[in-house]
Amino acid sequence: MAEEKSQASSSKMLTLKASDGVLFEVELNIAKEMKTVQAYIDDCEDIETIPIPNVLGKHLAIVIEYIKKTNEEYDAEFEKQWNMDDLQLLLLAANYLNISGLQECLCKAIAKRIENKSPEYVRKVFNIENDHSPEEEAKLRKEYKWAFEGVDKD
Amino acid sequence: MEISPTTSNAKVSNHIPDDLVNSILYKLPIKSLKHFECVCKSWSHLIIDSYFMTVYRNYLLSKDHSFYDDTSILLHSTKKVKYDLYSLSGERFENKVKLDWPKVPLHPSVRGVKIKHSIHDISKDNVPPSRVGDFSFEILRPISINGTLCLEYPEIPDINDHTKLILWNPTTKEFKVIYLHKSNHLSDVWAHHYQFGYDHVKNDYKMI
Repeated sequence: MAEEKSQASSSKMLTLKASDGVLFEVELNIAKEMKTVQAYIDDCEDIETIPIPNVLGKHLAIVIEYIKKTNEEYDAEFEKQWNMDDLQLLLLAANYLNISGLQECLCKAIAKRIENKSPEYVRKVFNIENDHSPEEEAKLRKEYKWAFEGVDKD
Repeated sequence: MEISPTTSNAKVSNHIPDDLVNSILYKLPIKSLKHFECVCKSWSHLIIDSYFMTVYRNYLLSKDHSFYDDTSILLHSTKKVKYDLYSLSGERFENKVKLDWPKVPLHPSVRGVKIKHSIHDISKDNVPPSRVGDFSFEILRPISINGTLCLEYPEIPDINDHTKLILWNPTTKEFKVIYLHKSNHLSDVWAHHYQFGYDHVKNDYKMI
């Protein structure tokens, strides 16, 4: 993302306030990548501080850095740094802030992390309760025996 | 985790809503998708839902999918009496894996009967079926539609005089047998002139 310092509008700074009170000063063109923030600015033009109630400072910092740096190489390395909890919270942040590129990147990253794991692992990740009866589950496992080959032990 | 009102100890919920879960599921390989059907009931209903599958398939075929560059070749070896099917994958198609034909159950009346397997005008030796599913199949053109092949069962005397065609997905191993009644007006020459296709509008397969 090239900085266009010659244009007055892009050098305007905006403050974003995370849910835990942490403040971030960002350039307008960076903030506009978050469609939620864009909508906020459209509604109230003179606003200087925008509250982001759903996102912790830690994650907002990562999101802002992503927007500044994003390209194919960066994306490939980006997701490796975060644990599963952070990936999920980042996805929720990207969803709330309406940043489609980051959302895609995170969905792919989470899919990649769970693809070879057991159903038990997946239930823990998404906090899902197993409501299959033991018979139903046994039937599904038998039917899809081929799909359980090569699953990671976790 | 609950949302706390105090800003200094602010926590955020990490519950992923359904539409985001779907976005993640769309990006899984089919093998993972199938074995996650047992995670919970709503997932098993979702994964077999035809709308979900249509979106999944469209995404799989788009270049945004990470599997887009992983193509593999199906090799149908017809040199020996028993046909073999292989999948070749990898950058230079160096990984060769033999695929098992679908185990289609035989009608009880034809088990143990000697059959004559004729391909086009070349007739092969009599091949006695030793067990269920021990047959070679012809693959109808076009070869593969959305990962499904259409196989032709060799000529077996069936009490109802039907020709069997089989829709088969080598990845999920699911197959469906279609019975076509042989018309008295058609000679054997016409037996191999079926066409297999896919109707986008009705989202279903068609046999002509």
